[in-house]
Amino acid sequence: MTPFDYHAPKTLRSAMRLVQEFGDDAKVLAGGHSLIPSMKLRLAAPSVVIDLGGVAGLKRVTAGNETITIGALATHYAVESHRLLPSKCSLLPETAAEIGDAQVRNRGTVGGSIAHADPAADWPATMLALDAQFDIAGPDGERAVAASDFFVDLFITDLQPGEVLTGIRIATPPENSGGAYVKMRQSASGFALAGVAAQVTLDDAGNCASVAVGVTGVAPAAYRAHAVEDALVGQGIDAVADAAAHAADGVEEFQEDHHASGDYRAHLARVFTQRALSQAIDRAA
Amino acid sequence: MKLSGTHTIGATVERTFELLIDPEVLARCMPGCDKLEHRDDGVYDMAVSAGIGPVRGKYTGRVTLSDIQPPERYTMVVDIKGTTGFVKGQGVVELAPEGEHTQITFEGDVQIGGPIAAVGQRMHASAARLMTRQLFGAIDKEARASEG
Amino acid sequence: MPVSKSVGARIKRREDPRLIQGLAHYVDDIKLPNLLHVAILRSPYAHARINGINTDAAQNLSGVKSVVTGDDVKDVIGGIPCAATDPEGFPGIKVPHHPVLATGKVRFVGEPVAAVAATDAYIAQDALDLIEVDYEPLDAINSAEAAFADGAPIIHEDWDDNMAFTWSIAGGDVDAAFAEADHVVSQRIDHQRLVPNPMETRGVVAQYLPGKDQLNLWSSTQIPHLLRTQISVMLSMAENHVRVIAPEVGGGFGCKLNVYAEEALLGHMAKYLGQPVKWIEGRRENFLHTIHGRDQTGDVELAVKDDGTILGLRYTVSADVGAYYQLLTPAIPTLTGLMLCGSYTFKNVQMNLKAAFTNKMATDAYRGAGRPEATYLIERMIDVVAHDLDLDPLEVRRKNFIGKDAFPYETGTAVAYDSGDYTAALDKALKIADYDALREQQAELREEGRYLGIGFSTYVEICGMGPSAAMPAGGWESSTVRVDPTGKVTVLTGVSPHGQGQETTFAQLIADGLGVDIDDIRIIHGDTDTVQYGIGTFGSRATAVGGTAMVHAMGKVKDKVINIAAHLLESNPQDIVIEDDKYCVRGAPESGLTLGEIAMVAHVGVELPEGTEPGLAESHFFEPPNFTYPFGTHIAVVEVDADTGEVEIQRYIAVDDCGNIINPLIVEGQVHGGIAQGVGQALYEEAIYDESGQMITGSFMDYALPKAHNFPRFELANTVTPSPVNPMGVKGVGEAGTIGSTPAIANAVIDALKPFGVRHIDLPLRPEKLWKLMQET
Repeated sequence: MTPFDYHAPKTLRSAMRLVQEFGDDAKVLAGGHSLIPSMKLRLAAPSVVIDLGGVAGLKRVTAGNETITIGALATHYAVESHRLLPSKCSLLPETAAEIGDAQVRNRGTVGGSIAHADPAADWPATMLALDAQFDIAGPDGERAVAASDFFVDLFITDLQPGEVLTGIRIATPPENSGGAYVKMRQSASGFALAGVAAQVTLDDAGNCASVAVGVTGVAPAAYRAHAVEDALVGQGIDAVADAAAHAADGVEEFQEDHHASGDYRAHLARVFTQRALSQAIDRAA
Repeated sequence: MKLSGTHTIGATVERTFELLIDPEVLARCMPGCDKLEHRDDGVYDMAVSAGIGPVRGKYTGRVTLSDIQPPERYTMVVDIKGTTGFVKGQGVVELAPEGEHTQITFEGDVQIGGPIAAVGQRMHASAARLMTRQLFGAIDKEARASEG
Repeated sequence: MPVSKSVGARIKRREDPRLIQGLAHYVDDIKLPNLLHVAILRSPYAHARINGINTDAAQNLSGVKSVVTGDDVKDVIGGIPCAATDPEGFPGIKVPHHPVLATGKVRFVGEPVAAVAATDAYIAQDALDLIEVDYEPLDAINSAEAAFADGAPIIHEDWDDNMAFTWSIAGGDVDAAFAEADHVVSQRIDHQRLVPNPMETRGVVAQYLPGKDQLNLWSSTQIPHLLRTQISVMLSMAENHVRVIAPEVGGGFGCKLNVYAEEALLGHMAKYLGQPVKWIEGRRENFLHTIHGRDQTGDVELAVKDDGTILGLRYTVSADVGAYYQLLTPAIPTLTGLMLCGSYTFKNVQMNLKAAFTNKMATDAYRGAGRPEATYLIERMIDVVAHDLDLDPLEVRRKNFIGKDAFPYETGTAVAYDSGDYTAALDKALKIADYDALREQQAELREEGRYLGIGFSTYVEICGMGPSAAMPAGGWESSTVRVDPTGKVTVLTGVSPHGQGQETTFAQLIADGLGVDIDDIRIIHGDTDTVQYGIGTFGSRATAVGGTAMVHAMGKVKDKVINIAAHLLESNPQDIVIEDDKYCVRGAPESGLTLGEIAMVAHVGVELPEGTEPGLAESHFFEPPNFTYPFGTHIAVVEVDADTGEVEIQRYIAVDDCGNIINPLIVEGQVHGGIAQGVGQALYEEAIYDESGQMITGSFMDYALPKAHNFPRFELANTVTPSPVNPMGVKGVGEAGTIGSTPAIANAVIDALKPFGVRHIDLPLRPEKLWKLMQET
């Protein structure tokens, strides 16, 4: 096989040094569920692989009263099985449980999936619905970027050369909140033909004080369905069906292949938005 | 695979046409372009490092422009290959004035073969569209920079 | 057959402990000194001229031992064989030379072009990137329709069109049937192309021993003996200097019932390199260059009376067989022809087949092999008849069933169904399903805008292949049963199990037959130097034919054992019985002898009755007088999501009749896997080549296999109608589930969409397809 240099830094600092030193020649390895298959299929041949697996401190998941943090190297399973998340923010473990199979969830990482930005991955939808902040380390220090500014295009994120995603921060949802992630699986790969994450907070009257909807699988990048959110704020469950009809508004280009046309994906976005919102409101009440 | 789309370029039709057939501009604007040299009448030798996500390959081959009718249209044939497969495409690019700007319409057919054809099929159309988006986006930038 | 100690018992598979502990030895587990690794360069083009190949850079790569191209081997390796090319059976058949490495032209994506042998697999793979092939692409053909179109590119230039062969069968008086009919019910039926996908891909290890001029070839195959014969021909070696070993084989589903380029190529390379070589097929290679299944599209017409009585059937069909023939390619659609009448009485039948060369991988035997096509089309058409005539699909079936007293029953296609009771299986399945309640539930749910569907398949299939006269390369089977001096029993069988469990079921038969503990029995198969000869495992034949050969051999051993026992016990053979695993004089169990004690006497050779040969080993070659015809009723209950078109299988009821059952656990396992595979065809699987001949479903990211979560718990039962074809009364069950389930699911989904006026939908029933149909109304 094409030889490559393998580096396994122990600290984030040394990792960053390597990332900057090798630039475009290097690929960062987290759980290895995107890069390794590509290399095995000889569709990718980076000359340097920087394995973050040994970097201390990037695997932790915490769920506080104010903030939930997920280290970039936390596995999907670490989120799925976290003791406190079901009560603090059930949308996170629910999303994790929808990814791949048990083996994939035990190796694959949340940060790896987000940085990879597959247009049909599950996490982007949920991160958008939770208004997650992504912590990024780079040559000029650290910065944070909102999920809604992060997913730019097909496999393209706001990450710049020399930058590494280090963690995810999410404001712990207040009382009377609920979330849901539902998707239709592509029958072969299990990736989302359409996946919708919804997170709502209800006011005292049982109407939506806040609504956030993230959609994956439908467009080249996951997106926030703002039109849905605008239509539902201040409204109750009766308004969900009408609001969900806007789930694909503003999408200029749809993903399409022999599994599903663009029209069908747009339709699925609406159906699953309605389902996600109904469940989310139900759970919030 | 059919591929079509429209893009707006912030320059006149004449200026846009010049940019579109200028090998230096194209080399700068084409995503991953390592080399683009005019060989003879309408034929360009090309080397690109193209890919999406972690899938990345080096391709070499040629681009041929024919039926050139400045500033309205031309036909483009792309034929490149690398170890991960080959890409063959042909299409018609048409330019029409849109006020001070230019609307580009393209329509073509792309064949992808070899290892990249058998995997990642779901990405082919979006990847092709992404690359055209990047190409015309860069040309638009180039046009606006040179105009202003 | 009465349930005795072992036979009929739910005994766990003796194979499984080694399989699930990782202790089994597959081809890739074979390690030999100085082993070289082979990688194959494959065509990225569906159709192209090869104007030149430059291997210099690859040859010069450190670690590369050899690079071979088509020109290097074309004079030393014969063509890949096809056993079904008789022009009497296939009028006008064109038989193109099928080289192991392409010369001059490539004709499908994945066709082998060159091979590299290197000191490790990575270097071999790297070297492929250094081989420069000058291809001149040509227009490609990706369907039979395109192959037959005017001006289509010619795939084999020895001829001036792409017609591969024709085949037809006719019985009764079809024209009269259609003249007499009240209705002609027509439908175009498509059988999509499928990829068999065994868990273990193919693989070959070859070793040449120059001192003995012997070639040892390990291959993941279903047919070690047939492979040896063919390899010896391809490599011009004496057959008795070739040894083929099928080690543990991780599934085949028919795709390893074949002779492939790599098997001969590696045999050749081992010989000329003087070093052993190994090639393990990657999954992508498997998608491209291991045979595919199905790929027929045809028009069916049924001549029907007002009351649903079927008078006759016409089937005009095109098969897309790919670019070349593999071992049995032309024979597969003929099995469709034989089974067109299904479980029904009509005898006026006609099938006209045209097969096309296309720029795709060859089709060949895939689980069911020709019969799923027949069953799907007749079972689907029964429902179309019911739809058009506004009849109950069950009543149409009952009206046309062959009655249980009519067996043996000669069909319009001149095959003789051995035994059956189709109504019994149907009634049993209806009872399990609680059919009337299901229909009520369906009506209630429709009121709520929910779409439940109930689908039937009352299939009959052809198994136990088969009489030699009906087979391209022999249909008999052989076995040797040997009792060692210590009383352990060794069975050599010509079948080559690769998941079917004969190491268990055959041992059960021996345990009861010879009165010996099942743990003292070893079943040996898959090694041509050990096993006398055999045909192999396919066509649900291993137990019906191979098991029968073994039972006959065992009978000969048993006769001898009883003779010796009678001699030792000073009694008459007819008075010797087995009680508690001891051979004793009836009524005197205390003086009984164990098989081991008798075997020792047979081997020591001193106390034998006069005229008895020493030793205790007997062989038998069994020629079956007929096929066997298993049948059953499958009922699928599905719900189609009105919002998305997704299909959920809510219940699956299968009542199968495979004759007598040796081990219910293994029968259930075969049915489970079979159902899953048939459901795969109904709902998920499709091998798609694009217009340029690229396979765009070449990985598990895009080719959808059914998964465990797609299924409910199956509700299985049996009826037992013994086959008269063999002394055990068994029929075979390897393919029944696959054959029965595809139409049951299709009929259920289409039944669910009845309120939308849906009459027929082509497979696979993808959600988008169903959703769109629901939108159109």
